[in-house]
Amino acid sequence: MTAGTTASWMRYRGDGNTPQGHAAETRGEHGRYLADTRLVTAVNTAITVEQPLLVTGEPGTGKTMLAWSIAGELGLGPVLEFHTRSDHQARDTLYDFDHLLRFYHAQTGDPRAAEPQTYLRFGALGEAIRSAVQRVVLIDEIDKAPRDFPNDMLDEMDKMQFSIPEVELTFAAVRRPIVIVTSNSERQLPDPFLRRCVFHRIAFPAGDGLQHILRERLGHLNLAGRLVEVATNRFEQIRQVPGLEKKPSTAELIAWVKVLHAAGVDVSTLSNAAIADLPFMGALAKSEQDALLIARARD
Amino acid sequence: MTDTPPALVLPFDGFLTLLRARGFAVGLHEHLALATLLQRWQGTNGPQFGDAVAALIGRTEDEVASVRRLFDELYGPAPPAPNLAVPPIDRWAALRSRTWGLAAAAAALALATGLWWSLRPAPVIPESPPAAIVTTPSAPATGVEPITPPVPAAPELPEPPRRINRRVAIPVGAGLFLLALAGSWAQKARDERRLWLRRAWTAAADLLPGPFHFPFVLRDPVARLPRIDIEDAATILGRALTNEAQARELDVRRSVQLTVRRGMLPSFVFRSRRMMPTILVVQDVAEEMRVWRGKVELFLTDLRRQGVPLERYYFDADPRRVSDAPHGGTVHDLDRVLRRRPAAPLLIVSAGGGLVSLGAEALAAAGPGGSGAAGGPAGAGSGVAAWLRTVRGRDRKTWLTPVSDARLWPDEFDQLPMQVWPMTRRGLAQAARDLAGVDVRPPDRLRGRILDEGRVSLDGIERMQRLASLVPYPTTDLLELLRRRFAPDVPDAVIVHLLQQTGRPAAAVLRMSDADIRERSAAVRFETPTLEQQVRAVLLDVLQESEPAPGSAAHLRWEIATAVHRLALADLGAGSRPAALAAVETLGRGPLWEEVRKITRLTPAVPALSRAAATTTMPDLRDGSATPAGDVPAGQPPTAGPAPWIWPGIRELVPAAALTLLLVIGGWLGGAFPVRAVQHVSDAYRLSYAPGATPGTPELQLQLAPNPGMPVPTRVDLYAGDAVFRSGVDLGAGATSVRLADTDLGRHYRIRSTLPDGNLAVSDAVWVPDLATVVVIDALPWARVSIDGYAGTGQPFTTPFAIGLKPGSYRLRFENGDVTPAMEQAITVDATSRTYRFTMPGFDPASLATLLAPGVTGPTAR
Repeated sequence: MTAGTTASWMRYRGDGNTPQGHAAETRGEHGRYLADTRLVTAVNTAITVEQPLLVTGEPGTGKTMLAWSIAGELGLGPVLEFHTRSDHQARDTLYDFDHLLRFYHAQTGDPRAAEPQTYLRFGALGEAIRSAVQRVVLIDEIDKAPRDFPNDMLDEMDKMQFSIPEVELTFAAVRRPIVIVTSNSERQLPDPFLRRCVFHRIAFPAGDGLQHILRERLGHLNLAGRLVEVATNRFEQIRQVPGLEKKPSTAELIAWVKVLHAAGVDVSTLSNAAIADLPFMGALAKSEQDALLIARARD
Repeated sequence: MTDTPPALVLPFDGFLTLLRARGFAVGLHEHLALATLLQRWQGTNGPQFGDAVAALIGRTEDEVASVRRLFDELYGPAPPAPNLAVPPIDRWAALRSRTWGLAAAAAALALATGLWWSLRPAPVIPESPPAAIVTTPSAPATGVEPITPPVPAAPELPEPPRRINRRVAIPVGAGLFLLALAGSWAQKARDERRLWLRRAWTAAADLLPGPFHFPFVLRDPVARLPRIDIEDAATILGRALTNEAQARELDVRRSVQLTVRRGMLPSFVFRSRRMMPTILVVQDVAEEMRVWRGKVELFLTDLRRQGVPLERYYFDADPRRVSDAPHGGTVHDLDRVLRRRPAAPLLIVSAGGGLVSLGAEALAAAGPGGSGAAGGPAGAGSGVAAWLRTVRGRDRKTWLTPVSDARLWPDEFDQLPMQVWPMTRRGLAQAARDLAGVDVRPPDRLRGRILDEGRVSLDGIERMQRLASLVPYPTTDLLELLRRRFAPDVPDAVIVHLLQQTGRPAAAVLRMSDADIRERSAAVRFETPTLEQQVRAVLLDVLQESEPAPGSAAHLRWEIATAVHRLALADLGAGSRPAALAAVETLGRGPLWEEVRKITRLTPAVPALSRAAATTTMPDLRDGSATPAGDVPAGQPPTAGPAPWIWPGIRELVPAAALTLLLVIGGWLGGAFPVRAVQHVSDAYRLSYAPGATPGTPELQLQLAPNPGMPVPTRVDLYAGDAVFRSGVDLGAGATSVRLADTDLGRHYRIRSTLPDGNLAVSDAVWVPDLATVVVIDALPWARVSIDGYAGTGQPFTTPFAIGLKPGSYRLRFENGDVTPAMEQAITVDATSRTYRFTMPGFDPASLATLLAPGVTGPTAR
């Protein structure tokens, strides 16, 4: 395959390798992000058809990390992140104009009030659109936003163009940004929005995948190999406890292994203990009911 | 003439059309996106392209999987070409297919031959009857030629009795008895051992540690209402704005404009914030709502997630009293709760079971047209009336029932002062309108559509029964899961229908009858085997999630359920049949063998599998009949001691003897046993005739034979002909004489005695001649003669004839068929007259001779 075809298709390989001369872009986590074949295909499909990629999955399955992985592998610089809150509006992804501050400045005679650009702050998507180079935008946990939020983004997402009436400026993307939207499926997203997205659900990783993640993420701690294996096995048993309100995810596993490592828990003890007697269950159970269920669980 | 442009065919148009037909939202946007993808797609990897298309078009995980599956079906690798080679003709196929028939016929022939050979009667060779001794009468002392009267044959002895051949019958009878005893003994031993094994296995099952049953762990056990429906409802509820003062926000733009207009005097403009009023939710948590608890909880949770503020209260069947916790909270009157929030809309979520206890009459009486004081079953008419007044006084109110089929609603719903809606798409929307105070009274047509939306059809019930039969005892949660996966078009109220059909509407587990399970599962196997395969695969997935602690009774039950589903899947061609069968058989030889047999009998039988099962130690695995003691496993549990010895008792001996007796009698009557004739003993006695020293003193001499060959009775009977002449003659003292009178002459005499076997010990038959004179009687030309006074037989006699007549006068009647006139003659027989010739009246021998032969002199004498 030629370089040109590589540029138009299968740009993202999901192997964690960065282009020569580019530093790996991370959020501070250690290790590489490895994507499976279908996820790689979905990412490249989204890039190809220039649509956002909507990624769902359990918490801790690496939805957010995916954006950084794409940016790192494609050498697109740091990810522009937008963490959705329940009071966000679609416009917040593009820009925010601080009317009150300008009003205050105007009241106090501050000369900055005459320069409206001073009160303009660009959101992640707005920053990406006005960027001269292609960027990766992460709109994280969109299901936390109000109902109208996704639909209000449709026009800008389609055209990758927006206007700011306060300063009478219009921005259009020179290179369409790669938009990654994550959702924890707390709320169904509207159909019009879904139609404009490429969809992929990241399944929770199984044994080997979990061990690989642990080794990548906690490799700097020089964990004993047996600890990773045993902790992963016990973690999977805990996830099988019936009735758990919130099954522990990868983030909880990483935290738990960190605690186990820091406390110097013996691997054989960890391996032989009953589920109810496993140490530091507080790192895995996030509710009283779940803690009770784990305490009552039998091997 | 204009050229019609050729129709444009979009790429993958057929595939996208198929997706649209399957309900996917495929439009121009998807066509364009796919076209863009194709334009830039430079790979040759088909599966990867399928993944890309699925990710592009699917909007949920299930949709992605469905698109991917359809893509594989349409564009996957072609299946291998079928083998069209004609198999060679098997000349012996017809014969081989009848092997069993031929073998059975040959066996029957061999059996019949053997029976005939062994049971054929032994040939009976009768011994020669004793020859009669004819005593020739002494020739009369006359000058005429002597005539010897014929000696009649000696009377035949009765047929010798036929007796069963004891040498054969006794061993056969003994063998039959032993066989019958062995059979009943074996039956007793088998039953006793089975009972012992059953107790041993029961004891072994009792030793299994708990837990004893496993729950189905379902990932998504509750039917979540479609979020779009809840969003619609939330949107409608969002139109109802609250009037509360704190629900305002600063309108920045208008504030700035107003401030500028006022010469920079700070002025603030507020606008109403779109806040929904808090909805008072009163939720029924009675037992009958257990089926719907998850559905209601998720509905309310989703509603709250949509930003609808809820204040929740609970009641247990009686909606007049509510608490702030599902169970055990502080109880309040509903009226008191409502007074706290006078403007809040009221939403009651219940299937209405509690209203039944209030009673329709009480509700009607307490209603607007009622007296308001009628007592219901609980005598709480005033309470009902107060509750109704409270509810009626609320401006915005509605009642939601999770039971979507209006036919299942209680009649009491009609008496409520609020509208009742099902938790369906239209029902939720209308309930939201009620709560928002908009379009409160829908037109009848719309109301009808709402109520018809969740109606369960008979077909839906049948489909769900078939799905349930594959479990075969599903919990309501599992049933709901199956409904969502395999019958999503059937309203969830079908579960209530199914539970009502079993007579236990509030049960947690649907228990159909065995006959229903067999019938439904067989129908699924016959009509929709692919569906059965899919359902069982899902059930196996559920079971994998539900595995209980190993070593427990629950785990054993879990293994049984898993193995049976795998066995059924193997029947359907998915999986190894021998392995699945071996797993079931292994479990069938364990402590829960009875459960294994029961559940396998409920599973549709497959001929190939039945044959395989029949060769194992579990012939009753599929469809055999159970014996009273049960078909327990052959092996015994490791925890059991040695099996007890079983001896035959009176209950085995008596039936065996009775059966043997019946068989022997039946065989005897039916001639099945070989028999032999018990021959008479012919030379047991000696009998001789002595005419006597003087005429008129004839006598018979009787004595025992010197060597009869066997002991014979000494008390005998003397027979004259076939009649007893003297009975009880004792020969023990030696020879005995019996004097004969004249009338006793002319007979055969024989000594008889009856031996223990029923045969006779006899002497030779002795003829005692009569004293009669033999005379010759003739008539010309001929005649038939009747003799008056003659005691013998044979009359009339045809002339000429000789006959023995005692001395005396006789009257003879002659007739010859009217050849001549009849006549009568009297003769006197004495020692000298022995020949009597007569000429019939009117008969002239001379003229007759002349007539017959002219010129020849006629006979003069004959």
